[in-house]
Amino acid sequence: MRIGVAEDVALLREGIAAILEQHGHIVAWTVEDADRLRAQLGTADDIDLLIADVRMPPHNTDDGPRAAVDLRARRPTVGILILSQHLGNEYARSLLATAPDAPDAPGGTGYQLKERVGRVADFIHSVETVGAGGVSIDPKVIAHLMQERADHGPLDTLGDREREVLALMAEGQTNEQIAQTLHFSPATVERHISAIFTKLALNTHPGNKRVLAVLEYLRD
Amino acid sequence: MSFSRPRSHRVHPVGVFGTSLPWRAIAYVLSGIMLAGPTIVFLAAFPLLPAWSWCLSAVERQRVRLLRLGTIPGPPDGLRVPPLRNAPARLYSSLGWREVGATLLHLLYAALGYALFVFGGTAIITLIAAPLLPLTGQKYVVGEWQIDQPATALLFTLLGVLLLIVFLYAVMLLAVSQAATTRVLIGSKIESLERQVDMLAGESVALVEAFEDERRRIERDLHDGPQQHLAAAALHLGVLRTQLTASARTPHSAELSTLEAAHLEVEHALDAMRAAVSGLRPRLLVEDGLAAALAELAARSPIPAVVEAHTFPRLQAPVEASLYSIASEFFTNALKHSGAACITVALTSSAQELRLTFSDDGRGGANAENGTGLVGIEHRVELLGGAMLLSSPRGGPTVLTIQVPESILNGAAR
Repeated sequence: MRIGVAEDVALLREGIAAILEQHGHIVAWTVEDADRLRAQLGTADDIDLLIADVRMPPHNTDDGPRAAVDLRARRPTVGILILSQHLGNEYARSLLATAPDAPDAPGGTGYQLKERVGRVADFIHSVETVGAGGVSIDPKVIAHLMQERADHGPLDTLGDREREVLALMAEGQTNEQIAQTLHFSPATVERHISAIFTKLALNTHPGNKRVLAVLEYLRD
Repeated sequence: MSFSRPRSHRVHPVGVFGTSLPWRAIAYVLSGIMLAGPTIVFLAAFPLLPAWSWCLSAVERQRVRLLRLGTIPGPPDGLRVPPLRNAPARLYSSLGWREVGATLLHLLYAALGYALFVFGGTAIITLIAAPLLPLTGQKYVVGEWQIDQPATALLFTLLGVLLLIVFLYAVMLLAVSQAATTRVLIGSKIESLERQVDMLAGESVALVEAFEDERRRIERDLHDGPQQHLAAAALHLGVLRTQLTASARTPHSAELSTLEAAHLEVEHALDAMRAAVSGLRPRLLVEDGLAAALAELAARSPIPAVVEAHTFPRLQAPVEASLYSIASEFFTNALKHSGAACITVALTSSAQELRLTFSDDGRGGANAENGTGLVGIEHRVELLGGAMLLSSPRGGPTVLTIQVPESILNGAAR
């Protein structure tokens, strides 16, 4: 996979690039601020996945996601993985709002805390999930989002088991991994997932049901 | 802090003649005499007298500056003319009529000043000029005395100088007493109080704002400094672990578990720092305002909590931050000390004030002496310029009401 990395802290930037290359990915370019990121995105549409920090120079606010949202509008097939120091939901939500729900737009979306990069296997899994058009959200962010949301909407109809399955789907786990984590048989997991799709009225939807279910789960 | 309060004139009885005060007093009295001219005209056209007295008062409020005194506070906004629509209100206000009184008194002072200048001035000039008269060959007669010798005449000159000093004292006394009575009559107490309230409100908002800026700076410093380094450390530890696991030499179980422990510690440090940062300045507060942030605070509270808040416009950021901190401290206190099973927060606002009421069903007995939380709350309320009412009898319940007046809510925005 060809990956672009935007991160202002040199240590992290080099570290991320090194880890990606060790795992057989090509780091097409690395940039250290949002201006260069935009310039890079403007000239060369040569990547499959963008990994971007939230807070970068020049404004040190949410330059990363802003550039990512622009990129999504122009090239919806490029996956976007945001790295952040914050559990803060507004970045995650603004980005999730752009997540594609049509089958012809397979660009994935991810939101991970920066230290997740240190869990190399998890990080690489997340990179590959997003690169393949999936959604991968940091478990801590999910916990935070769940904590502050008042219950409402179709999610109320889900049972506890179904919620657990959906939370693991949001982290980007595959059916097999979910089965392992929850000590279910793969058939049970599939039954739960199909129940989730039914309850969220996604069965007849043309988009990626998995992504849509996760988005529904994370949506405010 | 600088109040526009009149400076006291504690001047040396002789030294005063070395200052500009005598000249200023003369200018004050003379200009006063001239300003009395129109008053006589308007006395004849008395229905228009109030209008003239308002104009004259406006001049008088500034004219005291001739004596190096602070400007006299003018009427409050609602009584200020122009605009003309405030004229009826001014006419019915006590201030409006005090101004008419002050105008009549001004006329009296002008008459006194006029007499002082005409008689005093004539006498002084005549006495001082006495020695010059014999030179012109004329005789100078004062009652039964005839002055025909320069030596005797000098005596009169001396008398003239003495009279001049007395005259100047009299002018200064007249000027200062006129200024003081004018201040009492046409100075608007409401206005001067309002001005102080505005200023104090501005100052406390500025102070709260300074705290808020400081929090923001701490948050930014934490983000740009330690958090980045810790994240980088976590990354290196992770890479090291994969390298160790992948290396041919086996097993490294002891090293690996130490490494894993270090890695976990770094992650915990990041978690703790994140929690501290979000306590500093919750994003929800910044983005969605006080009511939303309070609801979030209640949702996170280990003690079940209900927030009743009506929609109202956003307040100034420092005020919101301060009220949020108060709420956050109340929740912490309730958790630590009260043993409550339920907390209720009510936020109501009217045109005059904002009222934030917290109540818990705990064991009560809260006071500022036995816990630091309440001292913190008290301090914040004080800085805000609000009022705090605490009822917490032993056995509970505890009810804390915070009132913030409208002048503070909009203080700096005005």
